[in-house]
Amino acid sequence: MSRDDDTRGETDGPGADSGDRAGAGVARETTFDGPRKLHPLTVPYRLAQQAIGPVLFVFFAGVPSLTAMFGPRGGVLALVGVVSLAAAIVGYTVASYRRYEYELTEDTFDIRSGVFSRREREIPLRRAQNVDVSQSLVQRILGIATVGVETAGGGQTEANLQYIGEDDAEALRAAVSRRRRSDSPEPPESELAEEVFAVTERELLALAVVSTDFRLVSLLFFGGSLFGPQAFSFIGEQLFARPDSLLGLILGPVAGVAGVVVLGLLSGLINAARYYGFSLERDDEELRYRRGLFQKYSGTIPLSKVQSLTIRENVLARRLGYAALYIETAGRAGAGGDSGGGSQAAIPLAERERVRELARTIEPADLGGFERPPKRARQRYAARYTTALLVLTGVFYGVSTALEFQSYWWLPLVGLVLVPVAAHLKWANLGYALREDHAVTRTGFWSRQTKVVPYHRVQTTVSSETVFQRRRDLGTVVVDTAGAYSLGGNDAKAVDVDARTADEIREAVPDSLSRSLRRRRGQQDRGTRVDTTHGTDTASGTDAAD
Amino acid sequence: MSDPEDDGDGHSDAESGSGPPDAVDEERERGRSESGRPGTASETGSVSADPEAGGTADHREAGSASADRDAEGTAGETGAESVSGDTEAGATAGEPDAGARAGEPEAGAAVLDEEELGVSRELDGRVRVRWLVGPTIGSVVVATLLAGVLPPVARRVGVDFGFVPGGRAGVFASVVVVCLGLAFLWVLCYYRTWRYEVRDDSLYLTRGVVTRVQTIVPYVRVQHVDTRRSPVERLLGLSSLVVYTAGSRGADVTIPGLTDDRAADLQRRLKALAIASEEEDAV
Repeated sequence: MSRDDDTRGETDGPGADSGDRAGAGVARETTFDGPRKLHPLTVPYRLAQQAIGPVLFVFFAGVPSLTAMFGPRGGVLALVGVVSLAAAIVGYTVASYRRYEYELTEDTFDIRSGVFSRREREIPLRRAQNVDVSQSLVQRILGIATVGVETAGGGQTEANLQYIGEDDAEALRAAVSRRRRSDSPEPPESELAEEVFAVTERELLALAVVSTDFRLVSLLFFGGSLFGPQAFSFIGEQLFARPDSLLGLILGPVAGVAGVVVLGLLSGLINAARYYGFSLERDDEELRYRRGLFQKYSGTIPLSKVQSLTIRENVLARRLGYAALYIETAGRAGAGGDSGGGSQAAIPLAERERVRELARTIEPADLGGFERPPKRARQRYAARYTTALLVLTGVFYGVSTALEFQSYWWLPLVGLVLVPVAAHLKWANLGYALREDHAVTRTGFWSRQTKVVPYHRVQTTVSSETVFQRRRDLGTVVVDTAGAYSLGGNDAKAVDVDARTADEIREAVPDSLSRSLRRRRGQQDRGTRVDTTHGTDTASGTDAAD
Repeated sequence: MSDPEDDGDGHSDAESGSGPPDAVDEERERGRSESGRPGTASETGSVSADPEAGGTADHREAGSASADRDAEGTAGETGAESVSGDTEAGATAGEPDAGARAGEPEAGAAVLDEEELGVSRELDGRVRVRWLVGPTIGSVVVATLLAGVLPPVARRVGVDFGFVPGGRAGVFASVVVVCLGLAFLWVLCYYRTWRYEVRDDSLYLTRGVVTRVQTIVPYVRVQHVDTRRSPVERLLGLSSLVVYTAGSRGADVTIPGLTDDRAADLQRRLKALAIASEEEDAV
C-alpha cells in the first residue's frame, strides 16, 4: 500500500486548500477545471468483472455443444463467435470509457456519457446529498474507487463514477463539499473537523455477537431439513452403521448447533469487518464517515440535508446497553440491505449513551419521557395476539385431523399465557413526543426504533384509524419525511394514540413545520447561517421571524 | 350508463370553452358549479348545461331505477351539510374578487381565493361511476370464470348445481349481482367518506371506509402537481389531481373526481404555491 502513502499528502492538501493558498504544495488533482476522464484501469477492471463470465460461458458451453452438433466446422464457428463476442465487449467497454466525462463546475457536477444513446447530466451542487466513496479489496489494490453523488430525486445514485483514482475520489469529494458551501457567508475555513465518534473494539466485538444474521441460520435449517436426511443416512451408513445410533443422536444436534454458531459468528465477523474503524467527523456543515477493513467506505453527509435520525436497539442490544444509529438523507431510494439504502453512514452498534450523545449533537432533541398511548391500546394487542394464536391452533387442528395423526395441535394455546405480557411489552415500547423542534416517536419491542424528525423536514402528516382502532377510539399518525430509509414503511409513527390526540398531532406537526420554516427564513434574511445543530431554537431566530 | 354519458357530452362544451382558459369564463364556470350545487343538490347536474341540470334533478327525484342515479340520491343528502357551508363563503363574497385575480397567479397564499379556504368539499358525484367501472369488469371476469369452471367441478365432486335456476347463466348472473352489489355498497360508503379541503397553508384530505385516512400536505412541500384523465374519466368529464411531495408516500396524495376546470384551477394554484416556496425549503 505504498501508493496509499504517496497520495495521503495530496488528499489532505486539496481538502484544505482553496485557490488562494495555491502555493502550499497543492497537487494537480485540486483543480477540477475542465472535463475529466475515468481512471484508465477502469477498462481492464470492468472487462475482468463483467466480460469474463459470458465469454467463458460461451467458450466452455457453446463451443463443445456446437462442435457436437456440427462437427469441427461448428467448433470453428463457435470460436469465431467467442472471439467476436469478446471483441464486441471490449470495444463497447473502451467506447463507453472514452465517452465518459465528468466535470465539476462552480455550481454543478456534470456527466456526459453513453455510447449509443448519449446522456448529459447536470447535478446542481446545492441539491447534492451524500457523496460516497467506496473501494473493494481489488479496487484498493488497483488504486481506484467508486464515487457516488446522491440527490433527492430518482431511484438510483445520480452520479456513479466507476472508477476514478482513489486520490481523485477523495479530492473530488472534498471539492464538492467545498463548492457546496462556497455560497455561504463564511469562508471555507472550517476544515477543522472534530471527530465525534469512533467505534471501539469492544463495540465491534459486541456487534459481531449481536448481529448474528438470522437469514443465514434459517438457510442452514432449511438446507438441513432438505438435504439433512439423505446426507445423514448416507454418512450414517458408513460411519455409525445406523442413523439413529447413539453417536448419531449426540452428534446430530451438536453439529447443528455448531453450524449455527459458526455461521452466526461468521456473519458477525463480516459485519465487524465492514464497520471496522468506523469514525465520524463533523465540522459545522457536514459529517464525514469512514469505515471498513477490506472494503473501504467513506463519504460526506451535509448536515443541512439530514432528514431524520433513527436509533435502533434490538432486545439483545438493549440488554447489553448498545444501540445503532441511522442518519437519513433523501438520497438513494432503494432502501434495504446494508450496502445501499442510505445507511452507509449508520453506526451499527455503540454504547447507548454514546449513540444518544451523537444523536443530540446532530439533532438536539430530548430522547426521554415519551407520551404513551392510552392503556386501552393493550387490549387491542391482546385481542390481536389471541386471535393469531386461535387461528394457528385452528390450522394445527385442521391439519392434524385431516392427516389423521395424533399431534399436539393445542400446543399454541399454551401461548395464551404470554399474551398479556406480550401486549404489555408492545405497549410499553410505544411512544411519541412533540418537542420544541422535533417530533420523536418510538415503536417496537423486538427491535425498538426511536425516530427523531425535525419539524422543518416534515413532508406530510397522515392519520389513520382502522375499524379495530375506531372501536377503541385510537388512531395512528405517520409523520412522513423524504428520508430514503423511510420507504419501507419506516416512517416516524405515533401508533395507537387516542383518536383526538391523533388529530391534534396531525394538525400540530404541519403548524410546527411552517413555524420552523418561517424562523429559518428569518435567520437567513439576517444573514445568520442556518445551522441545523443549534440554530433553530435561538431567540434571535424567533425575533427575525417577522 | 346513459346518464353519465349524457353528462360527458354536456360537459364537453365547458371543456372546449376553457381550452385556452378565458379567465373570466373559467371563473364563471366555477362560480356556477358551486352556487348551483346546493340548489339542485346534484353536482352532476350543475356542471352540465343548465336545462340538463334541471332534467337530471327531476330524474333523480322521480326515483330512477338506474343504478348510478340511485347512488346519487343517497349521497345527495349527505352532501347537503357540507355544501351549505359552501354557499355562505362561496358565491356571495368570492366571485367578483376571484374573477379579477384569476389571470395573475401571485406568490404565497394570496394565490388561493379566500372564499374557498377551510371549506370541506366532496368529490363530484360522477366519480362513483368511475369507481364502479373496475369492479364491474372484475365481477364479470370472475363470474365468467366461475360459471365456466364451477359447475363441471361441482358435478365431479358430486354436488348438483341444479338449485341455481338457469344453470351457467344463473351462476353468472348471481355472481355478477352479488359482486356488483358489494362493490356498490362500498363505493357508496367510500364516496360519502371522501372530503378534501383547501386550507390556507395546506391541503387536507380524508377518506376511507375500513381504514379512515386523513392526510395533510403543506403547500411548501409540493414538488409538482399532475392532473390525470383516464379514458373513463374523460368520458365522465372528470379529472384526478395528483400532488407529489418529496416524501416517501408522495404519490399517495390523489384527489379523484374533480371537474376538469376545478382540477385545472387547483393545479394552477398549487403550482404557483410550489414555485413561491423558498429555495431553502427544498429537500
